[in-house]
Amino acid sequence: MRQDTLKQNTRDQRALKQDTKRQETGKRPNQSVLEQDLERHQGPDMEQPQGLGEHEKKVQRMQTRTWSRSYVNDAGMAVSGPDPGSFPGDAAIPASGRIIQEQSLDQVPMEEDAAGFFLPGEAGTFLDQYANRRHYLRIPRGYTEQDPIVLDLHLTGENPDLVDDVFIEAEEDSRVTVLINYTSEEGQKVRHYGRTRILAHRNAHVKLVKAQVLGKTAAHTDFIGGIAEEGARLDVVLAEIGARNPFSSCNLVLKGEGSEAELDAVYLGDGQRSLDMSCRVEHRGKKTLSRITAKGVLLEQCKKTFRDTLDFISGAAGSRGREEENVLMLSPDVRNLSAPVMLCGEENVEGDHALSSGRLDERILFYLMSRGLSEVEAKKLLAEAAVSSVVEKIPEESIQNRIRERVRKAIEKGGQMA
Amino acid sequence: MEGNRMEKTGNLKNTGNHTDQMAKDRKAREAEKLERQKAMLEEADRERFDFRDKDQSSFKTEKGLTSEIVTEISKMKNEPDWMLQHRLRSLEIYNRLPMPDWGPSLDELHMDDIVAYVKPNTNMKSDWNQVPGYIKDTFERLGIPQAEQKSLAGVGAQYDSEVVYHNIRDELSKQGVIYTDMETAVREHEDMVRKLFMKLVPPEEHKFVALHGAVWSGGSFVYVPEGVHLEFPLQSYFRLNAAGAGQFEHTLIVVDKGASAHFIEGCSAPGYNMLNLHAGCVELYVREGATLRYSTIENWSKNMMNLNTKRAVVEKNGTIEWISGTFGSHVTMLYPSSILKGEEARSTFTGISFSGKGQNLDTGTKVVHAAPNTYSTIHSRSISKDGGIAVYRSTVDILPQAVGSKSSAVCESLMMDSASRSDTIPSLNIRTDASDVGHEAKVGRISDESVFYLMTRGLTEQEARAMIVRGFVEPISRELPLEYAVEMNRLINIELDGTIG
Repeated sequence: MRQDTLKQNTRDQRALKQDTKRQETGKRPNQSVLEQDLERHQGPDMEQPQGLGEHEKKVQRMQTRTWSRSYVNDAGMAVSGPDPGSFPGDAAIPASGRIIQEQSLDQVPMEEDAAGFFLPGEAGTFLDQYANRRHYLRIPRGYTEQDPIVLDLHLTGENPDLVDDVFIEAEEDSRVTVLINYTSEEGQKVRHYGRTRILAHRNAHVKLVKAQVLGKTAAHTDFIGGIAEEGARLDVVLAEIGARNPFSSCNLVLKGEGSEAELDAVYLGDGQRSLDMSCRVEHRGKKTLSRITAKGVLLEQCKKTFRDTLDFISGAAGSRGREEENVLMLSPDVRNLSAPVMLCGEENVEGDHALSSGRLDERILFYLMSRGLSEVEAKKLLAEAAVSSVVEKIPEESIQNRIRERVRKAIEKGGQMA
Repeated sequence: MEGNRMEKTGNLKNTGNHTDQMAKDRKAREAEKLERQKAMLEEADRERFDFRDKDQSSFKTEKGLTSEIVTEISKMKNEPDWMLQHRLRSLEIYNRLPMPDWGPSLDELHMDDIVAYVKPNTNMKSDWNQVPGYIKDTFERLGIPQAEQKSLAGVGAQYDSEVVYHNIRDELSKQGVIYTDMETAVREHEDMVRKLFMKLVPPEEHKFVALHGAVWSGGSFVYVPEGVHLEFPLQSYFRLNAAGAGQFEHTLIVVDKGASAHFIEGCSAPGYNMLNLHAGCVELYVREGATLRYSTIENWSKNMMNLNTKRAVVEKNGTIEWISGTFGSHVTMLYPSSILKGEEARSTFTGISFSGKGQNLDTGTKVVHAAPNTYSTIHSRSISKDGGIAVYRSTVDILPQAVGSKSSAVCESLMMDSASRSDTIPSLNIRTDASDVGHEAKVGRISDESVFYLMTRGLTEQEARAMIVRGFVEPISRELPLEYAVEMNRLINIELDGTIG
């Protein structure tokens, strides 16, 4: 009973907070360069959705709009505040030295920008202009070394702003794993804004792992785009574990015949955080193959929006795609929004999607507890199990452990209420 | 047809004997059949729906929409003042609301060209023999009175904007069942209608429902008293005859505690070159422990903009069952929605749409789980061919109080060729952990293997495909009353045969 009143109170407070925020939004005193750009792009009279933060802009997140009451069409995209300075630190490139590494993107072949699909044009300009970490990684033909290229990006009080722009170009028949790892000191107000693009040439195989384990006060906005040419394969593992309101998107284009994509996403929502993710795979070439898998754990009062789209373009004959999302909800107050969209303009394809959302199976919970585990311990175990199939795809054990640790901690804090 | 079947049997017996000669024979037969079917298609089948009558209406409003027109409609109908006020308020909302920024394009729709109100040259009759000949003829050709005699509890028929015929079995009216046209209901059951009319679907909802609120005309009112079970379905048939007109019928159904009913709605219109608009509104109140099945087979002509709104509110232990077949129209936006308001309320949605050349059928459903232990299932199938666009759009909302609710959705789309499109755009909004929600979707085509297999068993490719499609829609057709299932199969045959040549 007491708990109910408590919850009611927090809810009211939250509503109040949002109201004051909204009033503040009207003025918006310190506009960043990006905000001004966006305003010019979209016009000042563009409607602001409710509860939009000070440095947020409404952007369209669905390829095909649906009715507004579904709440999935748009989202507030955090735009960086002041212009970022430099960002120190270096990338760990394996010893062989065959990989070409540039700190500028001047030589990047820009025929098509897949990341641009979810990226408002002017925000792309912002990235072009203000990125303080640029990496152009060219993987030579036939490269097959096992060790991953690791970019460890740690944000601190001294270096609070990171705008990274990474371009990976994999030449024919190469194989490479790139691991980008974002961390920050807990309690620091840091901001990350990034874009990662992949171009996989014929028969190249690129695995990109982006592990976002920032502190809970961090801002995080991220765009991924990938293009696969004939016979190429893209594996993307996307972990959205930290940050206050992580906002990310991933768009993979299967351009060449026989190209493949596998996108694995894992997310954790706790506290009053709000997660917003849009993933899309475009089947353009013939006989292309894709799979999107998302696993998530939600607890406390968090809100999550996950949109995944399979888009079969006319001509992509013989293609197959599958998307799947499994959500584990551990608190009565979570808000779980999903939009599993499938667009099909080609007859000779097979598309499949499946979504399941629910709480823990009480019988399993009961079994574990009868074996001597406390409720929280049992829940930790089951939550870890729910996300493990994706977490295990991260080729670095320390990152795996960091993610597991975060899940356990979140349940310790918010799990017993459920 | 019969002769053809015989030939087929003969053909079956011979399988395995000769190949070349048989293949030749079959080709020749196929070509012959093709011709026959084509001819039949043009002459007979479509004609059953496409015939039109001379416009004999007694009164037509000016094109376009003003408060004068709305007032005029209200006066003609002898309505109480609250209804006039409702119309005027809706008109004001209509003028204010923007067109939807999602879904199929409605650019072709010029509201000023749609004649809002067309009154046929007769008043409502309850004796079929008194219905004017040309209207009677229309409905007889559609098979309505025959069905009434055989298998219906009551029938209503609407011709353009007015209901021309309404009848109900005597024993039912003795039990207190009310089945009448909406205009009569506004006058004779004013209290009930006033309390419920457009309360479930307020005119603020969207532009076309506001338009409906302003110019609605015709439709049916049904009241099934507590504990009464209707053994036979009630049926209303809507026929839009005038070119460039709109049809805005309002259906209001109340199924009281523990009662049950089945309501069937059929729609058709002849083909014109001008665009017609259908913006009906259906409000269903399912009281505690009651069950209502609402079936629709919609076969508007291909010049119809079908922007219909249907909603049901279901109280404790009640059940709403939607059966929805969408075949005709140029553009359809139709999403029957269920609000599960009472504990353990249930909703099932079974839908099929068949989108052919020049058609954009945007259909689906919405379910709001607003009470504990509510239950919903969605089963949708769509077929698109010849450049048709079939869109499945849905929302499942599980509100925080809907603890213990379950929802499952399965939707399957069949692509007949690559000129067509088939999109699935669901969204789910889950606000309590204590719920189980599942959603599955599939898109694909008829596999070559299945066609090949059936062909080795002596079917032509066309027949094999048609058989597979009939199998695909079977889960829906078996939910329909027999006559309608036959009708649907027939429609599918027409649509499929259209692919020939």
